Amino acid sequence: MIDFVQNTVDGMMFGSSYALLAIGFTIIFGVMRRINLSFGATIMLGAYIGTWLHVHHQVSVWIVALTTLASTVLVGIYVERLCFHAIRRSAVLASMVSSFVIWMQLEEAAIHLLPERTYAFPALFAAVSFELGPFLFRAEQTSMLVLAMIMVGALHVLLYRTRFGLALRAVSENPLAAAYMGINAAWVTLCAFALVSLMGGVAGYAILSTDAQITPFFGLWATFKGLIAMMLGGMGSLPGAILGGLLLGVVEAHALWYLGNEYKDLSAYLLLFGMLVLRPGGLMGQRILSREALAFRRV
Amino acid sequence: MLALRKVEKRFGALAALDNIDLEVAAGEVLGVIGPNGSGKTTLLNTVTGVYPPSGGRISFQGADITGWKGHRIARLGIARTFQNIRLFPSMTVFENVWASQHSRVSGGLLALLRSCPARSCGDTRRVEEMLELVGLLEDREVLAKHLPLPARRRLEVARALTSDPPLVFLDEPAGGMTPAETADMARLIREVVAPNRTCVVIEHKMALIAGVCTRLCVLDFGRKIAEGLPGEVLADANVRQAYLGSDGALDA
Repeated sequence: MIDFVQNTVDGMMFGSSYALLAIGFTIIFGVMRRINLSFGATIMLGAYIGTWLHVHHQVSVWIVALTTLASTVLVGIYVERLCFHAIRRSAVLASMVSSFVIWMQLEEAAIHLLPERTYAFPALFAAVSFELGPFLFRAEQTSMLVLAMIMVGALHVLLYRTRFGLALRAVSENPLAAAYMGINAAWVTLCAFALVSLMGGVAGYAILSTDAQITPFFGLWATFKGLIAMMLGGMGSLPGAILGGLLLGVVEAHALWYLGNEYKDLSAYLLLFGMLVLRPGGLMGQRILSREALAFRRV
Repeated sequence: MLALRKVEKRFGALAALDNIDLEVAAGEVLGVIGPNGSGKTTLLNTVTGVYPPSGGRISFQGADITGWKGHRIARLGIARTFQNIRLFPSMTVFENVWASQHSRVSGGLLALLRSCPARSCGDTRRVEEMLELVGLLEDREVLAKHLPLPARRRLEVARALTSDPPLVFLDEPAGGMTPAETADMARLIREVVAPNRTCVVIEHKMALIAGVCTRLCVLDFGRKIAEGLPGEVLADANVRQAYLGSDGALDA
């Protein structure tokens, strides 16, 4: 029983980072009705630039953290300009393919930057742990959860308490109508990309700190986890992204404990498969599905 | 106020708008009528920047707005509604109108973040006034997608008027409505929309057109075939031919 609770808590802590990745996918899907496959690679390259500074210039871990966030935002803006802004809104498939191509491009850039396979990632928090009753808490995982909660809180304020949030929601609901409210949809979209890149940078930094290492495959990994968490929760739904991320983390933690490491990723795919069969819209996807149906009826 | 000079719009080989010259004078309610596919909505979309014209110039209050993007044209003071209603479905009635006030704010990201749309710190009176005028004040907390069709159209009108634009385009404001609902919409246009501003109404329904318009312009196959006072235009032989050739909607 204690194991079960411990695994659940561990899973939720790690899942909070999945939730941030899923929020990144879901906001972009909401604003553009597109999936940005290169989101994971964006974070990876941002973290690579931070790591490069650490490897070649021995800068402090704080500078690595800040550089990771700043360069993730810049790479995110680059992706938006090259892959989404340049391609018409209606060309959904073309922009998805081009986001895959940019993914490859970003991976190449990372390999050129640091050609070896694996690098140690400089963590901000020492790998200490503390006990609370029968349970063990690891500092880096706890900080992951706290960071994620701060990010989600800030996002909520941004979306529901600022004009930018109002504009973002308006563009998500109906871009053409938003334009006739005087909202510059292209500008809002660019800001949305910068915003989710920042959140992704935070999630990526927290995950890499826990792993204490970075490889170019982190991009693939982050895209997978974020996409699966988003699909579990329901595309375009913010509470869904959070729930999906936590659920994915918890299921993976239990699979790791009861079945072993080789079943951890498999359990994630199985979970997604089961969800798609039983509830194709995801946990919170019902509303989105009916909204889409509404859009198709064009009333 | 608004002037179109030899405006053309082509989609491939199809000339959706062919050499349109049109003046909209300040304060009038201009009705744009014509059979299905005659280019009415294309005209509106071209003027409001959904797509740029293929040729010709468009100017508004002396400024050349040819080829401008929609949000810039909106900020300049041209508002519109949509034939297939485009509300923000998951926002409440209040939020839909509140969102339209966004257009009054421009500037950088910091300005956007600083100014806050929480209901406590802004001019909610204006929004409530608009909702009251279109009779939706009691439904302010209802989600837009749960409104019946006539109420959705009224909400779109309220949303278009909140920023107090000098020129408003209404795209089939009575589309899909019963005769009684159409009469309500005609009253709304006469009493709320038309006073103190210029208005262009695109419509099929003669009940609405005859009730609100001070002048008519008739399109057929992308060309302007008649223009003038409603009585003269509706008696015009070409106009009757154009309509009877389609569905005889003139007498409806």
